[in-house]
Amino acid sequence: MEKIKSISKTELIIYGIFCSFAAAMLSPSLKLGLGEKGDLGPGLLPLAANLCVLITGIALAISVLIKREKIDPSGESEKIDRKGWLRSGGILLNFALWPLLVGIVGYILSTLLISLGLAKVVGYKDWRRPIILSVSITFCIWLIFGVLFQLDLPSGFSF
Amino acid sequence: MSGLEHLLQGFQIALDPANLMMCLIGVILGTMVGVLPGLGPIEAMAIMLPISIRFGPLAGLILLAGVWYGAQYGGSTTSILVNIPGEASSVITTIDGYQMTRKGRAGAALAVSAIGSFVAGTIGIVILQLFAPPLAAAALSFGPPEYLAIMLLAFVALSTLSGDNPLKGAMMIAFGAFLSTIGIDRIAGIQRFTMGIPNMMYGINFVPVAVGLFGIAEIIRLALNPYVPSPMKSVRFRELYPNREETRRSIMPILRGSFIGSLFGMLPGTPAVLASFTSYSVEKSISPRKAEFGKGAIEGVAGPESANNSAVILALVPLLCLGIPFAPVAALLLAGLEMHNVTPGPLFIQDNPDIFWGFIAAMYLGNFLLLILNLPLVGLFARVATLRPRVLIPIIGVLCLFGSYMTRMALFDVWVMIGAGIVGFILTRFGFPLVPLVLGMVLGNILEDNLRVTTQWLNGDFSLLLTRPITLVILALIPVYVFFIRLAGKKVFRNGIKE
Repeated sequence: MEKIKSISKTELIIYGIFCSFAAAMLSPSLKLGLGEKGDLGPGLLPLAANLCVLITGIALAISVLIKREKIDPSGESEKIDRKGWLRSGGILLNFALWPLLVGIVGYILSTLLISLGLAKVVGYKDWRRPIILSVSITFCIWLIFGVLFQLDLPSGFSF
Repeated sequence: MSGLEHLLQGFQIALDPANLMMCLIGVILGTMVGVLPGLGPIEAMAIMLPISIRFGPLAGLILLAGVWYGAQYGGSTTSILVNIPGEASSVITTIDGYQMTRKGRAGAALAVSAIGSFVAGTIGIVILQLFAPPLAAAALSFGPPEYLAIMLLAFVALSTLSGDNPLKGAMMIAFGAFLSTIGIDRIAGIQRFTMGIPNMMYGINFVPVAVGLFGIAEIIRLALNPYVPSPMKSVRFRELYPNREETRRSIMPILRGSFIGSLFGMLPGTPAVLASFTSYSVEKSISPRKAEFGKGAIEGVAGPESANNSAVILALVPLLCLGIPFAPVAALLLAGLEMHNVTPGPLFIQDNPDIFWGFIAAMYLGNFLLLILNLPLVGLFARVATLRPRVLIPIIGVLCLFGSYMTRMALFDVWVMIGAGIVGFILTRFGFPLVPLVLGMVLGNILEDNLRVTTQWLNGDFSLLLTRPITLVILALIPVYVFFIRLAGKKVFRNGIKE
């Protein structure tokens, strides 16, 4: 029951974020102008869309409050351990590092590092297989995008 | 020029080595994706979308469509061999397909599934080829009010038919529509919600959002709960023959499935899933061997596998003729075409006969390639399903990064993709359907344009809509359609789940 309650709370927070965002966008939408008869303004669709988000968000929040015991996030009742969250965090960190690194060290080194990081984060204990995997990925991407498509891959001091 | 001459010209274009190669890559990739649990055609197409842009509109369209219908083929392999559906539309195949494997008839089930998919796909393409040009010609007489009504039907149907909770779907499609308005307004020329960020002036690009929502969110999900690949039964080529009795019993279900899929294909929502469940229900209800269903009836494989393939092909009709995607993957195809400044719609066939007929011919070829590749290579495709997430995640991750970057050569898009991935993962965990969000982004601009043109056309007097019979019929259809399809869908799914 405790877990179910915490899920309800998280879901309510999500609705709250959506509703707050939509409410905050109402005024800028109105400022864009709704237009006049026969000539709609650029603010009409954003206003209508945000009103729809706001109304459905409130309705969903009310439904959670009324029948909170029935909440089950997307039917995914599987338990996620700490390792799972760490893996996901590590993956996101790797993704965030790529745009930061690529302009400095260039495509080859950044992709090599990121794919190696991803391979290590997702469970390889040794170094041999992740290195082989990351070198293969980097080479294939270079071959496909750089050689075949002749794209200007981002370059830095290493490439 | 007659339809046949157009088609022959289309074959000339499709047989161009570059187009043929795209077709081959698309169907192989689609089949591989189809057998992998978790990854589906939407995820694969989202990842391939930026890559497809590099090849021009026709080759890009051929590649993406190949992934789409290839995934339908591939989805059945794991359903039959290990009782794990690779695709939502293959869920129903697990019931009798896996039972056939347990009885030692896996080869027959795979062969019937592949042949049924080929027949249904071909029937679907013939219907598309015959139906699309006259429908497009008829749509030329539609005015802005009719288009607005069709847009509204698509909006309402796609938001209410996705996921369990229609409110969540409506919220997502509205949020997607809002995101589509970010950037410089095309008519007024003023900036909307750009927050002074130069990259936002041209709007939030659809591609990194789709890659993030489907690709990155799936990677996070895989990392949280990595699946352990199931041991796969090996099937030898000489085992891939149904016996005479199985062949005889498969013929009518394949034809019925093709017909059901063709009917459902043109409806908004998830046509392939609904078609396969309906086909199973129909086969079971009319079969003289009802007791065999659930224990390895070949009809339970032949019907649904045919239905989902023809549904996939026919889902292209609304996109190509009206320019409105009624299915999620069609939205990705639309996005791909728009990036080449090719706008599907009533004038699409007239203005771009090379693309339309080349695409039709490529689908015939792709369907044939799938048949000749799938049976001999079934063992290889089955081995793809044994790939561990730790191999897949780095490959998919790097492809997502490059795909997003390549669209506009902007690192800003990579950040958008990462953000969309996190949002997508959170939303999915709480049961929010992501497809309406993407459709809202694609359809938002089209809706706004139609709304503006209609308002100008009617001079703001919407009561004039009452004088437009087609508009009235479409508007009246919205509640009726949503009510009946939801009801019918629930009934069919309930029957399938009971099995």
